[in-house]
Amino acid sequence: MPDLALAFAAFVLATVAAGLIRVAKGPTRADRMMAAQLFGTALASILLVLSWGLGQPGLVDVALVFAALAAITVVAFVRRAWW
Amino acid sequence: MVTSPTEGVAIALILAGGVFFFAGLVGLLRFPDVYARIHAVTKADTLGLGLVAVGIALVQPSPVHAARVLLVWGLAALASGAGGHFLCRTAWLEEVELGNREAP
Amino acid sequence: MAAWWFDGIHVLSLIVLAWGTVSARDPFTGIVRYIAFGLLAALVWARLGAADLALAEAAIGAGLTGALLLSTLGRMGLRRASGRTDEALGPELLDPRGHRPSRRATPVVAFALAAGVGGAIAAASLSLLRTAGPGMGPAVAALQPASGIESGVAAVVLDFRAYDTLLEMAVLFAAVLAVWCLGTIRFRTPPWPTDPVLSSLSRTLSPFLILVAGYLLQAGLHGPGGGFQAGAVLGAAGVLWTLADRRALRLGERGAARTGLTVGLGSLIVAALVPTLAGRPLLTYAPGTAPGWAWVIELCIAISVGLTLTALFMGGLAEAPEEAGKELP
Repeated sequence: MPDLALAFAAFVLATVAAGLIRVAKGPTRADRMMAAQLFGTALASILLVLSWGLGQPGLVDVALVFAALAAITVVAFVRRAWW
Repeated sequence: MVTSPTEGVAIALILAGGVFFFAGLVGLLRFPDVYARIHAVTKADTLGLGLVAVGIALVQPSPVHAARVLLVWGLAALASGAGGHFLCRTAWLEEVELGNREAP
Repeated sequence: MAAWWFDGIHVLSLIVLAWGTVSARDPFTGIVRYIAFGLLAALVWARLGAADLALAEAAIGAGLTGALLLSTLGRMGLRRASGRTDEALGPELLDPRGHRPSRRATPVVAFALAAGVGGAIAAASLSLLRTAGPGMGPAVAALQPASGIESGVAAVVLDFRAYDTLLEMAVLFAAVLAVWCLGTIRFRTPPWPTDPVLSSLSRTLSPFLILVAGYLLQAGLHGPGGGFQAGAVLGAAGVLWTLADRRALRLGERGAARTGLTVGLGSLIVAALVPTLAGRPLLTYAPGTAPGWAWVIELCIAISVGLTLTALFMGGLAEAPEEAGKELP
């Protein structure tokens, strides 16, 4: 069970890391801001899977906080654009 | 390894979620337009998280724990929906035209 | 086997993002990479099994510090050589005096310093791990029944080392005072119309954020969570409110807000002084009362930290109404 969870987590992490290419390349600022959105969602799912696979229920709370703050991060970015 | 049908369904849902994350990545890297890329990030990734959350909720010890897991998805869905709007508005205010492949 | 893949990709991403943060050519890109780095750092704590630290890192290190950095970036008044004030700064950026900041050698030096210090700490930790005993865990566990607080982390933060917590709250309080002395919020005229999605997001999300904060507060006494983490989530709700509603910027003038900023430090000072009335040293709770003190202190810390983070994000006290309308620098 831990192996499967870690393998899935590694896959999602690799996906997210590959998404950084767009953040680096992205011509517009909106492309770069997508990093916050992408990371928040993907890392929350990694934490949920790890909480089950590694048997640590506290990680669900961490995923909760990740999701709650994902909204704030994007809004803080975007607000600067129309300041 | 799989001890019950519920766990089997949960694992299937989690793997399906992973497929959607990969789809989101493909969209992010290959779509021609910033607006299309925003679609990929906000919709595919949130759906991936939703499938993972439902899968994990199925194996929680109690309904309260399951509700907590689904709350993660609810908050992320709110954040993605609003975030998609803000990202698009940022691109629009920078006067990125639809279909413009090499925006400034 | 899968663990090596996960940890390997994780560490590699951390190093690449760290280099990307210091070598970014404009501050905005650097901040984006820093936030991504912070989220991955929170994942490190989660992977090591320290859920309290992961919560704090996610809430404060990634989300709120990123928001604070962006708020600061907006105040720096950087502009392009063409004269346009623009957040999307590029190679031709200048500071307000018209000089271009030099940045060729700085990233390499910064990264080398960080890598050197980090490597030294890692080497020292690894050598300690080989020779050290079980650590502080058994010592804390032995003392916990006397204290009565279920969570080891909460027992250390609120009972055994409450003095450190008191000093931390004093530092936060001083930070707000310093920001209020140095910063002023200026309002643009005509005011920018608020995005309806932003105001409705704030209205929809705030109750959930308060719910999550309350949950973290009560969970903190017997598991991951606690006052700081709950306060950080409340701070996020405050930041959202500030961005959605311009009237929130006058928060610093309200007596209720000013009182709220002091209760965190105040509760710890009260907890320190009350035992002296009974003849005991500072911060030595009466036997059996520790969980009660812990609950009150956690609640006060959450309120104060939430208001503190919101005040720091706002960056100062609002200008007096008669000064409104003057040209922004």
